[in-house]
Amino acid sequence: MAAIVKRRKERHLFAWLTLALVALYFLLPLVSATEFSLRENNGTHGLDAYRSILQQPDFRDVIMLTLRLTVISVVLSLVIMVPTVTMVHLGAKKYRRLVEFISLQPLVIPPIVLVLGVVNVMPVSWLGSADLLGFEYVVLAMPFTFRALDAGLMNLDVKTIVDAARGLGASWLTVLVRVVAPNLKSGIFGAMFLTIALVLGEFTMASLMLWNTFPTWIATVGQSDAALSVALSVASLAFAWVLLVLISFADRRRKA
Amino acid sequence: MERTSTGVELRNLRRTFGPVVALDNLNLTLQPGELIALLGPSGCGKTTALRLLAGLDQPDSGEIVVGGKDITAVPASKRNMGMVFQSYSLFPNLTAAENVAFGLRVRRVSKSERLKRAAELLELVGLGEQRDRYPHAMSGGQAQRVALARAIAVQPDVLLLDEPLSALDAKVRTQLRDEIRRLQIEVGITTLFVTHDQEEAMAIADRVGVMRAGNLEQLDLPAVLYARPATPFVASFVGTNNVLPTTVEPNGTVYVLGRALAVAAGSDELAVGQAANALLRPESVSLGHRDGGTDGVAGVVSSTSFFGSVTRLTVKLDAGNFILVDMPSVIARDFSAGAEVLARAMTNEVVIQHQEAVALVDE
Repeated sequence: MAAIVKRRKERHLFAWLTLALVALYFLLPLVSATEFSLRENNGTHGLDAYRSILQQPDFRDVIMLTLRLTVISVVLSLVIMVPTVTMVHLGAKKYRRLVEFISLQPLVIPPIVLVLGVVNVMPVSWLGSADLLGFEYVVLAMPFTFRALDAGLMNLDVKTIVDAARGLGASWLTVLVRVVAPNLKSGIFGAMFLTIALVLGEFTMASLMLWNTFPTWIATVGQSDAALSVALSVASLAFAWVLLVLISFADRRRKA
Repeated sequence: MERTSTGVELRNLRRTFGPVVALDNLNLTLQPGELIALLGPSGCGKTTALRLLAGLDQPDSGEIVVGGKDITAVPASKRNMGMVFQSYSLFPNLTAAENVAFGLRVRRVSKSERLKRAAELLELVGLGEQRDRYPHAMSGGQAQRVALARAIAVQPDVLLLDEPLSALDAKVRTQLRDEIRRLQIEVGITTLFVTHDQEEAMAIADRVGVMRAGNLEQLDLPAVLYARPATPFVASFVGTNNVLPTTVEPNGTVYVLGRALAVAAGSDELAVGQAANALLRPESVSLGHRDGGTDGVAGVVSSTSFFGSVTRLTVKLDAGNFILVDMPSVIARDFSAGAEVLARAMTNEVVIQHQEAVALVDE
């Protein structure tokens, strides 16, 4: 009995040690970045860099553009992917591999190739619209949205509840909006979060298409004010974390 | 809850899945207010028939007529059917009352009317107190009751029950089975009930249809189905049978357990002198002690199984084969394992079939 207790304690110790190492791996750069962003000229620490964020002349335009791209990406991703993944789970299982394959392409094809393809194919008049970048983000987010929604639907007997709703007179739109979506909240929130995180972090496409989004702005600012640039990165990370916590909270409330 | 019942006709329904013929020109008529149970082994096409009627699947050919109207091409959402599924199909994000009211909401019934109807129906299935519970907080029996209330809330033309009891434990299954029948009679709704459980089908249905390989082998009253099976498959599928080798005699009878029995309708047609299998129900065999007479075939009781009022005895005949005998438990007490007995057929006619058809017969 004593041997079993000893082994159990050793296992717990090993688990905690592993967790501590992983936490250190992730937290050390974050702590360093935060510390750097708080440094002030006189050798003390303060919030000067964070205060100056709001005073930047481009700040409002950059945030509005990023917000617009975020809304376009999230809404379009959900409108396209929720019905698609639902159909794959309902009956079109033979197309699952195909949809999965297509959704994985953005991970295989470099963003520069995607951008050049789009620039060559799209009418010139479209190239001046930021919405085009939003459409490209939808493609770029596909690997994440597919997986998040797929995982959500795995936990749901979607075929039975869809059949039940159809049998009760619900149209396909009603089925998607009132039956599938409310029961797929965690998957939808996950897809939303990942898409938002992608828009907040995507640099290559925005830069190549000459749009001044949040990530390209951080890079530009970083060339003249390193502390401000790092402060912006830390702030965007904090924003993403808050979002993640809110999503988890909303999901927990639903389950309760 | 007064309503007019609707009749249903399935005409020459055919449905294939690749090379598999799930339904092979099925014809079935449900009279208004009738409950028909479709019974059969897995893959016989019973659920396919139900899904075609619900509109959740489309036939390759044939017609579905409800209340005199051809609804074959009508989508599921426009058919006015109520359906209860084998797996719990309640919407997890809605309470019991909201689940029941879902179909009414889709039909744009006012909120006050919806809530009133949902409350009434939950009372009807004995769950008035559970109206605010979510499906995850309900037992399987409660979930299926709510699903039943939800199905009848929309006052459907036809109620479709796809093995609704198979996920429940034995006691709840019996209770809910009786409840479904009570509700069905009370509401007067035409109902198609699909099951692989023959006891369930016999207990609940006005008529039972036995299906095999996409065909309806026999549709009859439960008692007729049991006593006068139309085909050897029905005889072997419904109830338990002893399979006893025999030979067709010149006068058309067969000798089974020491008695000459007439060949029952629905038997395979066999020539005089041809070897056959006789299908004899366990309750159609009587036992006597060997020292009590000479009438019957000798054997030894090898084991007994007590089922309450009835006991099933397994008897090894001297010829080497085993037979099952059902008898009232008060009588079975006289026959413990090892008792030397004489087995005798207690019926005047018996279903016979080709000996090679024995694979169809359950043990």
